[in-house]
Amino acid sequence: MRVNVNGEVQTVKDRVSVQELLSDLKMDKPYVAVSVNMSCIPKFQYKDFELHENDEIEILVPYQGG
Amino acid sequence: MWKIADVEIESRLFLGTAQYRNPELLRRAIVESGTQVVTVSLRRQSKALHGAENFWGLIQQSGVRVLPNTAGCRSVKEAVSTAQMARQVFDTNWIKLEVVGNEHTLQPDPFGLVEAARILCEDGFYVFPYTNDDPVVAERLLAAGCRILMPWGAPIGSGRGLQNEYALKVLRDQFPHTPLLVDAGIGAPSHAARAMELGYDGVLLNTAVARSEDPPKMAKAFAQAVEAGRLAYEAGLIQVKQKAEASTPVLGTPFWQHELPRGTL
Repeated sequence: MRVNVNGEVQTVKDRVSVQELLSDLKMDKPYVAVSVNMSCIPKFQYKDFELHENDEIEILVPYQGG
Repeated sequence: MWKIADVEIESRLFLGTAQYRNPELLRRAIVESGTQVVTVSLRRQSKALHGAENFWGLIQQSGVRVLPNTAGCRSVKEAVSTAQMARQVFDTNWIKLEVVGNEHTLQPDPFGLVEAARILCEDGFYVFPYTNDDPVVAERLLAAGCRILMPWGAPIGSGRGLQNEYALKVLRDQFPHTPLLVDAGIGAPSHAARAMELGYDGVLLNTAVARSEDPPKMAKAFAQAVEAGRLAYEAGLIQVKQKAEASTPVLGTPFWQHELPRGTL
């Protein structure tokens, strides 16, 4: 299925979990935050939260800010 | 010492971490500023994670508290989601809430700001709202659950200083028990000192230090200005007068009794 990750369309396996996606992208780090369709996903849900076709995923990391 | 959310803080200078020419300048600016709170953000991960890893490592090693922001958010939904993600990453319930309402001035959208503040306060956040200097908006933010306010001095990054000193003073007078920080628009240490002289509890700035020629030295200048302004406020400034008043006592002035013709040299 296709999902949108940080603004780019990516093909992933059906019903992939957030945890699996992060692992596949080599982004399973403690300082990473994830939202799906503009809703923040708590870390404890990563393993069980399944993604669906056309989901919009944001994966954010610490950055400089004012 | 002063308190925010039951945390005792000595420095009244909050420092942004953006726009430094390199990480070492940021690290030294943090040290020289004496700040205990720095602002950070969340952004999409780019090609390599090491940039985020290095930045976050630097901040953690500096031993300061972080105040994550919702910079760039233009809706309540975006701001709330970003704040919740920041809580996941930075492990703090502090959030500098920004909901931008105007592309030209980057001034806050007061309607979205109040609504987002209400949602986040109910969700357990300690919200630092970046707001304008309108006392009506301030009242609404406090009613929404905010316990601190951060009115702007001028548009973000403009360096124009306190554009409406009267409005800032009205806020100070109307909310004497609410911590107030001037956030944004400060360009020179004298601007920061003036905010402190008005009785503000602190200032938050970024560009004025980061974009200066020598950020660590400018950070030190701001630290001293903030301290000087606070001391002046505590000492009590004199009343401004319309005419001169001799500071040297008139009593005992020599030649006082002599009437000299006008123009005598």
